[in-house]
Amino acid sequence: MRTLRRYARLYAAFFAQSVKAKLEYRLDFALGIAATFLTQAAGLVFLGVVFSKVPHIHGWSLYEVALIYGIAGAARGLTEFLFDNVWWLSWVYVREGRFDHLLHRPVDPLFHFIADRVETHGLGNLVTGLAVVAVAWSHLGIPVTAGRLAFLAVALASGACIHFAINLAAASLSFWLVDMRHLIGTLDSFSALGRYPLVIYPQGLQFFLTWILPYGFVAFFPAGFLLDRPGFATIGLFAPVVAAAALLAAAAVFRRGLAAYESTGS
Amino acid sequence: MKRLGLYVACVSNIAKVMLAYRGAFLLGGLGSIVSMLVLVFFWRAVYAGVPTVGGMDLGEMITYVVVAQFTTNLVGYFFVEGTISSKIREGTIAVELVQPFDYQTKQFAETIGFVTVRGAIHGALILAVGFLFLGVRPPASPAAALLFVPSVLLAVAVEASLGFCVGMTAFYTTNIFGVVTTRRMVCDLLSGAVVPLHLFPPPLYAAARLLPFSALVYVPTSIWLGRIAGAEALAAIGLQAFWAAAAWAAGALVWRRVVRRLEVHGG
Repeated sequence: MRTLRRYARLYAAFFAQSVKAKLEYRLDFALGIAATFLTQAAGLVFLGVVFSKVPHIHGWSLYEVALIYGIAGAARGLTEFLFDNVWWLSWVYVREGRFDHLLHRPVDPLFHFIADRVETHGLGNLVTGLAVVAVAWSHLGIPVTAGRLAFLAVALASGACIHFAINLAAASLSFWLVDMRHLIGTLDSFSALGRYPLVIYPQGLQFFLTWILPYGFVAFFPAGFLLDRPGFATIGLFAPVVAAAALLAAAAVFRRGLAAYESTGS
Repeated sequence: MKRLGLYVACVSNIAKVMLAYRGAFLLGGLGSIVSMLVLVFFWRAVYAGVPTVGGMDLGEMITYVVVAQFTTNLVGYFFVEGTISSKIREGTIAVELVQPFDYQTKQFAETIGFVTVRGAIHGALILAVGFLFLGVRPPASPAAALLFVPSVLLAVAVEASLGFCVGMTAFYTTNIFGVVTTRRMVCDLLSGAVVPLHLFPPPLYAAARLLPFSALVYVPTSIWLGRIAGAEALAAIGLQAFWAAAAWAAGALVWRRVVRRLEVHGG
């Protein structure tokens, strides 16, 4: 229990430090927020243009698709905000050997390198995503209940964990294959698949996005629950379970990689 | 003449570096293909309900998506800004000042090298996937195929020059992530990479055609499709050339200012 409290205090300290450093670059902060807003706006413009030509896609309307898009954006923002250091693992830490100093600290290395860096631009995605969700939610007339709001919060947290787990597992490959920069763009593209209704994809891809890289649980299945869509009404409830499983798997990959890294005597 | 040799060396140098990381490089190509597939699946779902959208049938739209992806990929956002930003962060920008050639031109040569390799490998992958699996149509006519080439080359030139200008902002802010991402999103929207520009409301479409961003993707892609043809195509290519030159001039101006500032501060 004492260890948990100690870690919590340490995390708070790192968090505050990182945010302070970030706010010093106020221009960058504002630009970062604006940039992420524009990123989602671009996607929404695309949806707007498409839906100005057709009323629905495979039975999904503009606001229903926007709900999925918003949830996906918010979850991604949450993961960027808290867990972006995962990418630095690859090219800064391993390549430049910065990881070594972490190994000598009396603190669990995984915890340390996550806490070491907070990406405030993730806030932009999170806030924008939530705004989109709010607009779609009210337009679709989904009842605002404590249960549904709690579900949304849990779904977002699960979605962020799923993103993080997949990114961590991928970044851990850098313990074996140093340069993983190109993989980021690839993973980003795969995660983009989760921003739209899974029903537009071929069956094989739907399976892949449900069981292999579970991006489907980040936004689509939670939206299915909120919308009470026949066929997709309950699977979203398993999002936290999938998130936990993904985290365990990713942590295992990370520890394997760390062990391999340490054993090479660098 | 010796300078030309130096520039050529830069081009081949960066090509060599890229090919050294073959595996990682191919993986990056996978990302482009996945992004493209998202759009393809999306449009297929859309066309399940209607025969045409914006005057285009499914085959034409798929062709647009693939050729646009090819062009977007070739044009290669981030490269120039990323390189400049790294050099500044690492301090190696000072090295560029003492070189016997113009940095802007050298950066352009490196960009050409980067783009050529990317185009050859990722681009070929994209087009192959398009032709083999997605039913992409070839250029609308021999004239279209012929005009596509200079249009694409000019698109690269516009991007390289624009990227250089945006990269120059790295001298005025510590982390250019915000600027670059904003630029990228504006480009994505207005270049036609995300959605064919002619699907926008007419006034927005007209405005977008005049801006340099449409020169990056929409113009070459529309030439391929035969949507912009004949005299209009030549005019569009002329506009691309204008923007490439204008962006280059702007970049040169900013660079000269930066150099003077660096020298005054003892860089």
